[in-house]
Amino acid sequence: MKHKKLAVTTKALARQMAVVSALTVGLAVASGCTGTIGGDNNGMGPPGTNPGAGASSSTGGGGPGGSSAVGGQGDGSTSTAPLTGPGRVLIHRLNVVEYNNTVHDLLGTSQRLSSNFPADFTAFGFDNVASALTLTDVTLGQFSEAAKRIAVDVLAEHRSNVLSCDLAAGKETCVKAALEALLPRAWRRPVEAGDVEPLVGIYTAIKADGNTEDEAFARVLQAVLTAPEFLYRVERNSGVAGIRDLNGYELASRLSYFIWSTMPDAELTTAAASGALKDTSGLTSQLKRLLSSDKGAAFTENFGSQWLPVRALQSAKPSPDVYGDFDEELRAAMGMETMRLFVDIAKGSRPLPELFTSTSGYVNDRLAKHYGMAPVGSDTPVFTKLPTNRTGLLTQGSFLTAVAFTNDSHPVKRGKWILANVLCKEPPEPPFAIPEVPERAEGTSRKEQLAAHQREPVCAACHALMDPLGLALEQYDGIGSFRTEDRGAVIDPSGVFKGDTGELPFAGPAELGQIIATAPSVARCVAQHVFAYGIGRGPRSGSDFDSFILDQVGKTFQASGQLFPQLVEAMVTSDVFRKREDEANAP
Amino acid sequence: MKNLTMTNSGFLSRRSVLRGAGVCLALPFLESLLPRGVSAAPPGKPVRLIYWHIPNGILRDLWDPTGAMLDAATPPASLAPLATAGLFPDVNVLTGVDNLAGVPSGPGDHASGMGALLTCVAARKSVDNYELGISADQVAAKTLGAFTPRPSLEVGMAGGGGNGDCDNGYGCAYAQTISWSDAKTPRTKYKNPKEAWTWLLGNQSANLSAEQRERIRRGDKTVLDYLTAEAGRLSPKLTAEDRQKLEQYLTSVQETEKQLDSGVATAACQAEVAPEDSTSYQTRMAAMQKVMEFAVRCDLTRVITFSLGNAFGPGAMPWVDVGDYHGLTHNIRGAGSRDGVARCILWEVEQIAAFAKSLKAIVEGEHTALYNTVLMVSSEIGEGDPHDHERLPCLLAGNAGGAIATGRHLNYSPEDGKARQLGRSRNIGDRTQALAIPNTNRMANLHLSLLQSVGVQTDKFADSNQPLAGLLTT
Repeated sequence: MKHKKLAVTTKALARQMAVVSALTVGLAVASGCTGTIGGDNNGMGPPGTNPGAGASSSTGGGGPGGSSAVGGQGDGSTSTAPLTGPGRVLIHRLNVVEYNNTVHDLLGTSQRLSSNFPADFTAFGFDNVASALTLTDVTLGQFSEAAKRIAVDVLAEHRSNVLSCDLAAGKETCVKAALEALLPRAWRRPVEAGDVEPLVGIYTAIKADGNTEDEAFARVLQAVLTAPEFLYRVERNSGVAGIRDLNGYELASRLSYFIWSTMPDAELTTAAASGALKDTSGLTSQLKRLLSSDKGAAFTENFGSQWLPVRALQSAKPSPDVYGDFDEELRAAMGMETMRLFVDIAKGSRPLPELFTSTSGYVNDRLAKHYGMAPVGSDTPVFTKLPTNRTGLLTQGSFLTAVAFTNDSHPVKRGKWILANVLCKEPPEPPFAIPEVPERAEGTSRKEQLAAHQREPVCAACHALMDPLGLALEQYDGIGSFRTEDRGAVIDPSGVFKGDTGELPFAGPAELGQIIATAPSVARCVAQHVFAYGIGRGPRSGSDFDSFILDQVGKTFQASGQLFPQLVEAMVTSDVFRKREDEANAP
Repeated sequence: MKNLTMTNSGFLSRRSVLRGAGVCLALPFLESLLPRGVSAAPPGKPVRLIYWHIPNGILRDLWDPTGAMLDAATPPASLAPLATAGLFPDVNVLTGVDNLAGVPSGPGDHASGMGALLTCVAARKSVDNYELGISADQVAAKTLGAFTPRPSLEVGMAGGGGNGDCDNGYGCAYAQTISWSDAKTPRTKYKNPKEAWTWLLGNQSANLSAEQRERIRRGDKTVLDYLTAEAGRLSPKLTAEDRQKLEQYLTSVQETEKQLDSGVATAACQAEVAPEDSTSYQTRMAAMQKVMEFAVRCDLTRVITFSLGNAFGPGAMPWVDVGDYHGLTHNIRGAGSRDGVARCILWEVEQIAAFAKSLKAIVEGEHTALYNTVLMVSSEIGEGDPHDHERLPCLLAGNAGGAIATGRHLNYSPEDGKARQLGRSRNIGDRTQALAIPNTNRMANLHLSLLQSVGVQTDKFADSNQPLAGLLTT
């Protein structure tokens, strides 16, 4: 009965697929699923293993200045006019996280008002990409409303942060003094002619209109906090076409928002003012300080939770019917497991490959129960030896839950996630008019069901890459609980990884983790994510310069033993972080 | 003119009084002199437009009516909740409307369809360098927004952000909103009903005196003038593309300034209790409907866009026993999955029916708020499995104040069938050709008609070539 049903369906499937292939074979070619992982990666450039031939920069005319690009040996050594350059970032609005942090650091307020704003749009997987951060009247209204409330709060609770004189007595003179102290911090650059007077004018006008001194000064604060140079990180155009170094203040801003998701502190600003950030050692010493400070947690939290599916975990909705055990405590425990491991990696205490191979992990009692372990004796996660069926991210609850159906595992989606986020080889959408997927009969494993993908070239082109990766994890259900069989069929987690170095068979998730940890394209892929997050724009497809930077950063990262701080340092000392291309002013 | 000054919350700004110096009965009826919170519906004309997006399309054989008139006794299966709620006389079902601008270049149907839904523009295929067009709701807001505290309201069940929501080279903003201020500016939406409610009320306190309110307004204006000047001061120091991006800022300042002169809600409306946010989708859905009903009833805005989910749909819908709605649409030929999809659609229509009923319960003179509204329901694609951009679901509820007769099934078809053929290709050349064929069954024509039905003075929207035949009562 079971077989008969399958046979009928398979025949129907074959017929359907014959039709489909005629229609869609062109699509597979166009889609870029070339059959190897780490191959031509949708225009992102050659894989990270390119052994330092520098070939990819040849058309760049040595533009990045070779040595100064990464590792910062030369300081701004420019060669002959490059054909491509470091590009620039669009004027960059603070996102809601950065806004909250910035107003706190600037004024001392503990109000986290922007947490209630609608979420920002994302690009390249991150919510701090300049081009995706737009502004409408609604958003401006929210910023204005927040600024008003913050102003009132600051004058009541943190007055000495903004005023060191008496408004009633000092009047406009007091206001001017306050602004001369506040503006360089608020607008992240030294005061210029034309900055202060209009703001003093606001004070005068509001005061004259029957408001109190405090109400008038609150309006001044509101104006400072909604001015474009507060809401946006601005890098000016010199008006002369060509590559220029970012000035100290621009660098300080980039660095501080990258690592701390907030404005530069006094020490960083002083370094900027003194020119210390212009040379590599000054820049790296500040970078190290920022990374090791408490505020450096912003980087691990904001970057890590977006690159790894920890934010995605927050919106996962496992079905209570199927997964009655799942609760918020478990969700939190899963999130902590992944984030704490990532923190170690981000600090450089563990090399990146351990993300995929670690046999120990951060487990609390709730998670221990979920994983079938003995209790660890704590609600706070403890770094402890894991059972043999848990090795790294691919077997962590966060990933397995966030990337799943609500009522089951989702091998295709999991495979796709790995391809896209770890190997930077994202397959496209399925072609138009896919044929029917036969119902999975009792006793049929997912692997057998999905084998249908492999039988048709147009499907196999992408599915041969994705499916084995996700199917390796079929022993973990929709909330990552371990199982050996599913719907009466024993699960076989073995498969073949098709990568740069050929086809690598694996017996199960642990071996797959090892393969991924050592895959040549991972280093460059992680560099790509750090690029987007740290610079605020995606690498330009077709850009030799960006591609070269990624190659170099990837190589430096690899050579360091994949220590994350080295990756960050390589990115920060690269030309794409320290320079920009200006354009000529319109005549 | 005593009634213009004597409401318990309304007041006349000094500015408007100065403008209306010498007001007497002989002058034309000035909207802005009305007490706040009072609807200014010109008699017989509609007052509001609501766009309601359901993700992942429909199943045509369960949705499309057969006859020319809607028969509540034999409704199409998906539309049964409307019949049961007695709403068939108040709706029109349009079939055969194409939105070929939604056809992507290569894969990316959900995002490109979402982008095209209210803009009828083919989105530029880019992850972050958006290029689309102004959406119909924002066009409407330019006219209708003058009458209310907020020009438009954008709400939805899903937020922005989120990893991996995006579609094959089409940026996340395309997939996460249907409302665009202009080609480069996607509008965010509220997914927290309480926040949306608070924002609608303009964060105003009911306890301020008229004089205090006016002084606050003057202060707001002073700051906004300053911001305009600052943008002007900064602009020459930027690259051309940064200047263009800063335009969003300037536009936002100018729009905010316009809203300074619009009214505030009545004290009674301000006293109503906002619904709480909830982690339960269904609870939050009910709360969001309450927000929209409130917005209509208290005349806080006359243009609303609502999205039941971003492109690819709300994902899990466990209350109808569905784990991943979008995934299910692609397994459609299996009987189990088809039933699941049908359940999702049915639930969606139940929500629409409930909302339409709540509008019908608001009395407005001889009619109801539903009568004085046109609520358009559509999706980013036609059917979930082929994800096509032809024959999109287009359900219209409400009579636009009399401009639209209801109870009908209007069936459109292209004059030139080649457009649909070309539209099924994902080749950008084919898509361009398809759009160039001047069929009149295009979505832009529907949008044009709807805009006209609410009094927007225009004879063009995107690539419209005429108002949609037979829709409006002339």
